[in-house]
Amino acid sequence: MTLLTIPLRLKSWALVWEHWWTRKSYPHTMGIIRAAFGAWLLMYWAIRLPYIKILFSTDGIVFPKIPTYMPEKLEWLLQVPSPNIALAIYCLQLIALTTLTIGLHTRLSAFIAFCLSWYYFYLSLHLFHTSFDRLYILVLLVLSISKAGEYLSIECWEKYGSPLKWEKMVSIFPQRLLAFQITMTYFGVGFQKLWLPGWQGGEMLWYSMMGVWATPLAFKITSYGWSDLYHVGVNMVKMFELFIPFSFWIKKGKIRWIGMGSGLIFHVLIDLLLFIWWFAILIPSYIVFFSPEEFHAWLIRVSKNRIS
Amino acid sequence: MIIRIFRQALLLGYIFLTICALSYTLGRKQVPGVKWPFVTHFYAMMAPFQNYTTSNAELVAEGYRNRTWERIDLTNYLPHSRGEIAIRTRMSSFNDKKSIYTAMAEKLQTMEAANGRVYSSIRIVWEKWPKSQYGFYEGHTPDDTTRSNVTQFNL
Repeated sequence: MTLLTIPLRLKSWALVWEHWWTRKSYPHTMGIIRAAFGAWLLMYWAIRLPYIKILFSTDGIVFPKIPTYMPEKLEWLLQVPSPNIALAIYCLQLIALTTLTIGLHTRLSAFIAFCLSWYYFYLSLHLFHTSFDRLYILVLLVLSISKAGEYLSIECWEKYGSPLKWEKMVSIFPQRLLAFQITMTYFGVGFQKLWLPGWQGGEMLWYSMMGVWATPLAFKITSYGWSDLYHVGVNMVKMFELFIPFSFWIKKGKIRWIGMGSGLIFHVLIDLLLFIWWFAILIPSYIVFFSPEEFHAWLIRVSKNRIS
Repeated sequence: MIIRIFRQALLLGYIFLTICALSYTLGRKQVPGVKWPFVTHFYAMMAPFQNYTTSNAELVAEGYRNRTWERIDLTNYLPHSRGEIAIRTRMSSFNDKKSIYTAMAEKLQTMEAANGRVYSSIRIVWEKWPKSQYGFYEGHTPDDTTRSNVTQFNL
């Protein structure tokens, strides 16, 4: 490689980078992600309906946290609202999530839901400070810059006569962002377990299955007493979490499918043994690891098979 | 062109903050010059369930009337799962936890009075007991449970 070829190489790398992150492609994947995430978040918020005044208004025990980056002039936004105002804000959140799910004014709906999710986080959810609430906020932000309403939406119905019809290719950028974030989440979660002191033995699993998150099934299992199998269990968890983020990107053989199967087993076991169900939405989200072209080809194959 | 530049800037900023978060997650090293509030959101997306305890703990609120302390059912005011209540009541977002717990006790006094239970004092206590393999409260016996007073609000 001579000095003269360096600019050419850099240019070609930049083109590959830009093509991978931002090329135009089929809208199906993001349309399905939008509908699935929207429905999940709608459920996540709708189940709070009976308690909304206690959770987010002066009727309950609510302690907002002002983020350090927030200008003083805007701090009034995070004052605990009166019950009627809290109900109105909550209704707006439900409406935004409903329209997001069905694909009506998709970007605006996602942006409103993003702003309100941010508001709820600092109003109250910060005390729970969970990874999934932060992931949900990020997904809503990504949906608000995506064209996820170009498939499986009311918008398509109005424009093309059917929610399943489509015309426009869309940027792959939002899909790549989601795939990258899911990868990094599994990567960080998995790799830190290699040296976190708590994760060096089966005690992690044993004591977690007797803690505040434990389900009746978990207590049923622990009632049989300690066993070295807990050490095996912890190592299995580590192996799953180390394997999953890489496997999603490997198209050779069945590695990607094995990774996704591992993710499915991992999350189902968490849901059965610990009341931590909020990450289950990651399972359908694995679809972002298929390229839109692959997914579109698969949809065509399925529809042809149905017709024949 | 402007959109392309904006998109790449957004992407590089996002990747940089994710790397800062990963650096802290894996090595407990903060990237110099990057303020933590910008990284915290990205760190928190990759850092659940890092440790365990050998005991269970629960925040308990008690109201004083008729010369006895009565336990207040917190689930009326914190309608969450046991795990979520346990995490929320740690008030870990706040540095000055005592003032928050006192505000909580004051609020509880008002809400209980509105429900016909008028207490002259409300106290907040942490109860801690060894975990049991047979159930969450199986180890919660008078001998094994330790109580630490957090705060008390008097009318």
